[in-house]
Amino acid sequence: MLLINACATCSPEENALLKKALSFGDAAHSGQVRKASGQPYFIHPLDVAIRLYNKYHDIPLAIAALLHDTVEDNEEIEMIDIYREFGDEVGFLVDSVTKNHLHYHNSNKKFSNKDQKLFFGGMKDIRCFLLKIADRENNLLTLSALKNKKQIRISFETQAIYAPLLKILRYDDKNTTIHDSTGFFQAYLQEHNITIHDHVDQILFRQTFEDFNRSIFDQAYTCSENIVWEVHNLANYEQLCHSKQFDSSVTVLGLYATAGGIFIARFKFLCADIMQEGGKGRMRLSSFST
Amino acid sequence: MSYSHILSSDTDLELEFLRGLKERKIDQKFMYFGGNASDFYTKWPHPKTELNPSAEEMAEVLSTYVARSGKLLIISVGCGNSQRELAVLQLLRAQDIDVEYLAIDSSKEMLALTEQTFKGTEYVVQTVLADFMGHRFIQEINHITKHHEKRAFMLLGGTLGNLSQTAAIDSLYNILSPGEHVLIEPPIRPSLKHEDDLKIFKRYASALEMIDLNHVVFSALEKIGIPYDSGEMTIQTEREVSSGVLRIGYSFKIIKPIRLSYRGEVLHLLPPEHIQLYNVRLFFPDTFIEFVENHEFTHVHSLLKMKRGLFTFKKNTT
Repeated sequence: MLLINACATCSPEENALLKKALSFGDAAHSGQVRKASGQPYFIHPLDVAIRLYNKYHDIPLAIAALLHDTVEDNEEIEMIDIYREFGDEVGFLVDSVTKNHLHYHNSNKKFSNKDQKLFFGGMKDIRCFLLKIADRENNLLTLSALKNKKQIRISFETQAIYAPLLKILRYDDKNTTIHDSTGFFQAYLQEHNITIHDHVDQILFRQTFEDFNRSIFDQAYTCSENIVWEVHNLANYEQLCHSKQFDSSVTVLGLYATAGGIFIARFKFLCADIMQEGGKGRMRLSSFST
Repeated sequence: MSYSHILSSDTDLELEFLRGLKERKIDQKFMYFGGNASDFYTKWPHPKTELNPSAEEMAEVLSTYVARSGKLLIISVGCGNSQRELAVLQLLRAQDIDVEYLAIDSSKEMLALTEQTFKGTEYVVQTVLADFMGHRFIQEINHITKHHEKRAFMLLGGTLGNLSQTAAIDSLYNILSPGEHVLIEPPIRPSLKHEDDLKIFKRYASALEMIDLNHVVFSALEKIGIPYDSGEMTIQTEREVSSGVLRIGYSFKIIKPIRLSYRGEVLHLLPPEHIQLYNVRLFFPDTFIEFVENHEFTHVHSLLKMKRGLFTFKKNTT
């Protein structure tokens, strides 16, 4: 009820839609629980919605947050239901973060992967990105409940895509509005001469990982726990070593140095804790095997 | 110089060197050839003596746990210049312990330094030119020492660290008779943490800037005509988990292709191949003790100093 009470400036129509979304979302996730806590699953979309509303005071965005997992997690709900019940604006936001179908409702355009679908959506409406970032932010709070393999995969994806996106949109700055984020993103696209969604991922990857492209990302995502990472900067590696979780999170395969000044640290992640400390230092993908 | 016993011929050594070249892995005894043995002691940055077990401490361990009665033969494997062993002998003799010494090294040059060390002393030293890991070693050493009622083995300094751990401990097990003791003095690492390993790495990596030292390590390649400017020295770490070892390997990385002839064969060394030249192994005490105990030894005593430890083990009786 925090969400409803906070909505003192909502119109009656928005209030009604919000209540409908709460009820709809709660029913859609009925009987489902969160792996980490065993709490009702709906706590997660509710947390995301509250977070986004407190930050942006945007009702459609908050509603989309309440509904963002309904189609994926409930076989009886189709995307058309969301569009029909809550309108095109909310429908589009939910659609952008729904992985079930690699196309938008009422469109034949098929995307090669869920990220491309999201980037397409985000270029049209920045709130698609904000929704996804808030969703991922909330999921990371309970990462340790997942198996190590999945932890590493999610953390890797976060490092590769969402952390750079968060930075570009200045999501963590409490004064940034939706309009501001839109402007930052547009400026970023212009700076990197990007006009279509297909090219967004490449520049995001390279914020963190050298020598990355979509093909490498896809392979790395599939076998994240088998990847051998390299750090080529001694100071950065030293910082990683200072992390409390480093010894338990990583297997160091070896350190290498030459008289000419090259340094390489090679390691594998055992779990994702260390990656969530901000991935100090750019990492280069060395090799991986399944 | 004449040796009491020679278990390795010059031909054996040359063939071994050729094989090592082909495998890009040269045994570090070749580093000491051609007069470089003394360089190891003069140009190498050895830890200060107070950071290592002293001769007094070694003598105390031997007199307490090993030399309780009868005549003792101390066998030092990888004896180097034997200066520390001489000091131990003198201390044991001062306690009226009847002790003799057998010095074993795979380097002629090191055995020559041993002879220098013992020149003018009251001790007669037997020297054996042999590779501890060679296939004839066990039988030959048993033959050489068959008249001695009690033996104790010592692997001091970098001896154990120069060798593959599994091979070294397996060999030790087969060389020692049940109830015999071995004293091992390896460099130690303070923990198994990556942060501490990085400190160790940085310490050893700083040696890459020491030209004199690099030339000592590189000397085996220099002697066969490989120019120093055809590559650069590198260092790499590896964890050997079962023994609790952090291995630091020095290699020469080829930057310019080299074609060379050795013993009638032509070899092509190409970039970016690495030729392994020298290893240092640092041991984590608890893991190392467990590792040796799992090879049917009993841990008798430990002495941990800042840079090295002195571990005494006894081969189990059946």
